[in-house]
Amino acid sequence: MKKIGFVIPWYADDIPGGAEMLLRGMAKNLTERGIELEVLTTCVKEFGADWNENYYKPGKDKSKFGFDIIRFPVRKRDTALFDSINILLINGHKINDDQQETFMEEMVNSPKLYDYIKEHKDEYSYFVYTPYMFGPTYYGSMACPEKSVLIPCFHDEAYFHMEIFCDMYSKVKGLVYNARPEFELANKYYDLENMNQIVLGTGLDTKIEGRAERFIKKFKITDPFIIYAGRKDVGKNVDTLIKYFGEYLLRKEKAGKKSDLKLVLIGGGKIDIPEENKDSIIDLGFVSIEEKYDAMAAAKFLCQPSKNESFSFVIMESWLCGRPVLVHEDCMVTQDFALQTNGGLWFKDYYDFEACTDFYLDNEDKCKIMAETGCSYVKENFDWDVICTRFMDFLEKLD
Amino acid sequence: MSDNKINVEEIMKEIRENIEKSGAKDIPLSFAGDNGSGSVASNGDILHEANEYFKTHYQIEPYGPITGNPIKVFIKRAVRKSSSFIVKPIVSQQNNLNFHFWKVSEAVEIQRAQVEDMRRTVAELEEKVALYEKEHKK
Repeated sequence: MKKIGFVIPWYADDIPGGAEMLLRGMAKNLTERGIELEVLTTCVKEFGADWNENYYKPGKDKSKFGFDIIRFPVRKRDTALFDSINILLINGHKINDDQQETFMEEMVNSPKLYDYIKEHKDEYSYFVYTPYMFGPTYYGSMACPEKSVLIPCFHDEAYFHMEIFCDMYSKVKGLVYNARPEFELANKYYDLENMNQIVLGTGLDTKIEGRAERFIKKFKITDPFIIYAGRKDVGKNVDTLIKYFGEYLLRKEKAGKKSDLKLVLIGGGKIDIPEENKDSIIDLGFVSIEEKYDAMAAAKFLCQPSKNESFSFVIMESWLCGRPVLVHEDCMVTQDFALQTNGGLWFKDYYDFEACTDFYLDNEDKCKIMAETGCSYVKENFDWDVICTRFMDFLEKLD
Repeated sequence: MSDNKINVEEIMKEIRENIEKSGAKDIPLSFAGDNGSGSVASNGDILHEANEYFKTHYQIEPYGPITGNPIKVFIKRAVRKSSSFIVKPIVSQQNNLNFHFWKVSEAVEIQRAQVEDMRRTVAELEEKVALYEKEHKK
């Protein structure tokens, strides 16, 4: 097989983001297993940067993981025009064909990247694109659909329902999904019966270990706690978690059973913490990876309140660190994982949240069993050896 | 490995049955106008939903984005420029009005929460009065 080109709007060895981590992991682990590949990307720094700014110099760079990164400059875009259409989508309005075209044209794009793909396609076996809604995926895959494989990372969101993407899905060579609900969502809305598809999941390091006593000693958090690990913002539904946690403490106190339960937040971003809960909600901000795993191991359970996950590394990590999870019922992906593994519970409203929290606090033996089943599932399905083998088998079958 | 006999579906079923039996839902939540779903659109609280909608939608834009081929774009721009002296003042007045509607609606929601609090207080007082009367009859 010739080399594989992984295409993503922005790349660096240390930038945050789910799709970015996914691609980085795939590229690193495939390289370690002798697969020749390159990452083709733009000069933009990261998702949160100015998409008009070429932060990096164009040309070849080297990842610390051993593969080449080739960067292409972006074309200037009309940010105001893009934003005016994007706000319509965010607020649930349907946009017409013209607006969809404009949306794609005025989002992050690199015509030089697309030209490169066209001109050099014979050097590559496949181009693998992620995620679905960005210019490099859309125009890149259209430049050479017969060698294009998408790792779309679909969510049921406004962008997913844009008709402009139908063309892309029907022309590419293959689709790779992170979870079964993503596959079901895609096949519910689009005619993909004759497409090559695989539910692969995402690889992760399954040999991680968290040490609870190390966390407790270092951070002096001796009370039982719920952990949240991830970006702290409304998009991740962290405001709901904070609201529910506050209500939990209040109701326990009113019932004469004051709780010493804490909520520990780790990760970036900012969120308001009510004054009355400032002693019970502990925001540690960014911590090291070792501290994150230790925190997970020390927690009673991990809560993932987000309604929009395409995989969710943190629930897998929680299981590997020996603790169960609580997810939101409206997130098909995380709820499906909790159900398949018997490693987690889910909540739809405050009352579920309260009852599940009490369940975990009162049933330590069941917590351990749930974490064990989750851990086994992760090792059997998402170990990098398994993922890389299945991915390469899938690509080989495409021929 | 421990004895793996966990079925989370059954656990959730039992949890939800217990929630209904326990009467937990009879104790109102402290966040006004929310049945605990964490989602504005899902709880049927029309007043709160309307206020959430007002908050992000009271300001209307006079024009949408101009799209289409260059000729269409030019014509649309020309029409906008020539009519903006009529359109913009009307939009500005409407936005002002919308803003005040929103504020009134918000005040109604706040008052509703206050009425709820008062109702709770009255209920508690009635309970205390009843208890007092019972004890003094003895």
